[in-house]
Amino acid sequence: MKRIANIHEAPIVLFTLIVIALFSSLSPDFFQFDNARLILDQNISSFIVAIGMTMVILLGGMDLSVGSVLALTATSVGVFLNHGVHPWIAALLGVCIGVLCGAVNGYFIAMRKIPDIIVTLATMYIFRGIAVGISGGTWMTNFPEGFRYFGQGKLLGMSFPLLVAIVLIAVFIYLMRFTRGGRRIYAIGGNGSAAKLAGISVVRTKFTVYVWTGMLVGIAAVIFASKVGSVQASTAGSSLSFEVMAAVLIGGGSIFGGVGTVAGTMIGVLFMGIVKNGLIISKISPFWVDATTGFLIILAIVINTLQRVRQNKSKEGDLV
Amino acid sequence: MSMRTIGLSFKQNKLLVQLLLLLFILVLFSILSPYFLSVTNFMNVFNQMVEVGLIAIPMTMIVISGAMDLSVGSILGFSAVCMGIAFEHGLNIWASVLVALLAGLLCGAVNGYLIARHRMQAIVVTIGMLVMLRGLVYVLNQGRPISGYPDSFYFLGQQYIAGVPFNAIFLAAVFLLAHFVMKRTRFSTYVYGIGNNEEAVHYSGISVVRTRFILFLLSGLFSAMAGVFLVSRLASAEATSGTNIELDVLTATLIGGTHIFGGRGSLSGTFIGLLIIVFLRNGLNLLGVSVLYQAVILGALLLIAVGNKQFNRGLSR
Amino acid sequence: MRKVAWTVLTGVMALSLAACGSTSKNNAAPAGSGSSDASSSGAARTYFINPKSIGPAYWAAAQKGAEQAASDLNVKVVYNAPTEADSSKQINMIQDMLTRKVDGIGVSPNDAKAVGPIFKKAAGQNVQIVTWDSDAPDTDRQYYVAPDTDKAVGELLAKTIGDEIGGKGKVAFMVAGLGSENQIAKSDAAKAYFAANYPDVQVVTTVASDDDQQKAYANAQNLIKTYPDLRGIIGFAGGEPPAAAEVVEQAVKAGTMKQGQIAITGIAVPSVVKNYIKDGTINTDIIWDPGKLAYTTVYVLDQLAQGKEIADGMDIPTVGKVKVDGQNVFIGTLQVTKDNVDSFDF
Repeated sequence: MKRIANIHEAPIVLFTLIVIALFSSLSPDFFQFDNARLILDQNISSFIVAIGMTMVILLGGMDLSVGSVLALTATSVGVFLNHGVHPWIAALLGVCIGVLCGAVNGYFIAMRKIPDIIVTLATMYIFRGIAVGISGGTWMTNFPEGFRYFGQGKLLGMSFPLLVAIVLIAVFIYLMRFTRGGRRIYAIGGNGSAAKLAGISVVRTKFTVYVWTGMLVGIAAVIFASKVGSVQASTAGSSLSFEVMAAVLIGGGSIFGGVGTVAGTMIGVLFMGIVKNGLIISKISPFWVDATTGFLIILAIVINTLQRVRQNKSKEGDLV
Repeated sequence: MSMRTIGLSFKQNKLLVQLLLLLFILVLFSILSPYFLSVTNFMNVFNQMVEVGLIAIPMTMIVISGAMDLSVGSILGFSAVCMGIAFEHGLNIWASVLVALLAGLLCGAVNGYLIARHRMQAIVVTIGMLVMLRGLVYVLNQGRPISGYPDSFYFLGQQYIAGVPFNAIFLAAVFLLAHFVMKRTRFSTYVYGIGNNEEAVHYSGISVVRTRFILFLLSGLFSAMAGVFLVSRLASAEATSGTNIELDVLTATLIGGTHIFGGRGSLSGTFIGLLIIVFLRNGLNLLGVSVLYQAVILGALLLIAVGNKQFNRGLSR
Repeated sequence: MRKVAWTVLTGVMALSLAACGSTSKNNAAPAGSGSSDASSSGAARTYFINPKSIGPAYWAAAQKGAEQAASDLNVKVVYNAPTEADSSKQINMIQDMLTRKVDGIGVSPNDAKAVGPIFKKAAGQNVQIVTWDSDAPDTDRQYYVAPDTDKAVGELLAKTIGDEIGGKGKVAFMVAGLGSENQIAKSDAAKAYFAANYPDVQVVTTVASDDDQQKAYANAQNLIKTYPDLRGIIGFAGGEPPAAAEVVEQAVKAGTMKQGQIAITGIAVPSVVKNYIKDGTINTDIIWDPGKLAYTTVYVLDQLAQGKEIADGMDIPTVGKVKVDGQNVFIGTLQVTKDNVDSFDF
């Protein structure tokens, strides 16, 4: 019992379960296989982007530009498709553009050593501007049938995008846990100077993380475009960065870096998705949806912090 | 030149560079647009920058202390709508203003309580508040804008005194006052201290909790004040007011040279940063440059102006 | 060293800025001869056409119309707005353009009340004021250019869906913003129309997307999940009908719903919903040509600036005859169906 309570993610898992129970009692439609699938389906882009955001936050940084990168990638994929590029090639090019955006972020952050938040705030403006620029202000829509596969197709009886998300999550959990690269990220986030003295190349690790993040956002963008069926460059993903950041922190990450896991983040994303879906399914007044969502986010953070304070009490000495 | 001397002359240098940039923008637009360099236009710009400016004051302090408040836009909207509703229910307009300020203080207190007392991460708490308060606004008034205030109230946002908008004079006065506080009082020492080394401040017997709490309280109060001025200027309290204002405020603060990791920064810098972004936007508007390019230009400016100066300091933490 | 770097960087800034400036000028005034302002084209009149925001396809289509009018009437048009539908940013921008001494402004206000003071100021400077797409009654605006009244559009939507589902069943509303005036007016009119003419139609809920495509999509998914017996969806803004159609189409494909079980109508640009109309997911879509709306706005402004009269039934080139009712100018709505969907070029 004690061991379970000491798992980092235990409180948030518990809280998620309580919220699920609450919604199930409010609406019979909530606790059903169909709805579970719907929630997963609605949050696939967030799941994928959140993997990257977890790594960034582990480094002690943050990425405000993910929404704009998503818009830029999705828009360019739309442009390629409307010019008759084959869906698979268009998707691949989209991911490449995501990687490129990540490399731009990474270059300024890692090589030029400009703080993350400034770089990503700036690129948030820039990428969004470019996205709307190349879209010419119109919507990207009327995608060819072949492109729909990325968002709606099935593979081995499972939804293709979900499968992609699961594979990515599994791969990154493995990378973060069991490889040297992953441990390096934790080391740098935990104590940058110590990691440097230990011979870890901070520059290279940071750059790599941002490139990976760009790639993940690129993949998410392709799925997003295919699923929603239309892309409006000026608003696509506009609230994504805050939402995903909140999910990482709800899932046990610390904004100061060094703490957090991909698995925890996924629970955070799931939590946010459940809240959004549950509130509508319980037929709550539309005016209350946002207010309740915000309240539940704060509650989740409270629970998380209590856990951390409890765990750290012995280590830190009482600062309060 | 050794690193040390750069460090010493850093502060003056930084302010000078910002002033040069501001001057450059002013000269550039004066050449490009015949309408830019005129008293009316400048007074317009001053009239428009008050809301962002008011919030930038506590934001600068909070960033110096090593935190961030993303909920300011929602607090602005929330207090504005609270004021509107109070007025609709027959309260005197100035009493309604008081209601707005109290609402702002309350939001600030919630932020402060969670962040200072319970040491929760400022970013997450304020993101939560951002979502929740914006939602509450819709709960309160179903999203309908509230208008029809008495003429005496429009004095705050629309009246000109000797050709200068009243709200700009107010902003200047508050900035001077805050500047004085940040230069001359012990409170500012605490703020800078917390940003540099929280534990050291704590062990020298100063209440970190109280200082933090006051900062977020101030942020709530100033956001509410900005809300009141906005309503007075627009003659209408709407559910969306203040959306995304936190980005403008942060941009002004950062261009003003305040270090995102805390410990360094100044209100005079923020003031210049504010002028830079408002004049940039105004000039581009006058030229008829599409907002899309405006966003790109603002982003590039941020990278250039802030990025380069923090060149040697990126890994300080 | 630092200073050198700085000078270089600012130089680059200036260049990029100038480049952007010139490109947008070309966009805004294709007819104007270059950037020399007043000298070449005599006393070229300049109008500021201000949509709610820049980005949505609807406003992009309107921009084309405004520019067309600029070249036809040989005037200058500046078409700009903030990136988000934000009233205070919009008013700042109008204020800036008044400084530029434009001859007229055509505004689609985000908040009908908030534009009051700035309109008063504009009227004081002898600037012609026309609202378009969204009105600001009880202000100093001279005319309101619209396809029709919000009430009429709302009723038309309600009638369309009421007819399609046989006057009975559950209907959900999807709006862009819970707070935006024209959305409230249209949905209230639709509700009232149902109450009066189709008492058996029950409006179950209203969901808002905040103009976010993914949110609209998720909203639609949740709607069909929450109300399995839902019969109709009305989308009151350009982003809502395609999101609803996409979700319904996917549900039909997945076999969880029968074709035609949910009728969808709404306001949407034909090019965006073309495929859904062709395959029958949407039967009727209500639209007007945003380009013609903007064209009319510029035309009315130009008439006013020249001191000419706005008369009922006046014939506007490329737009046709318009109805003038008091201070309202109506260009009329269009119904997009399978038969005519290919005939629209916007």
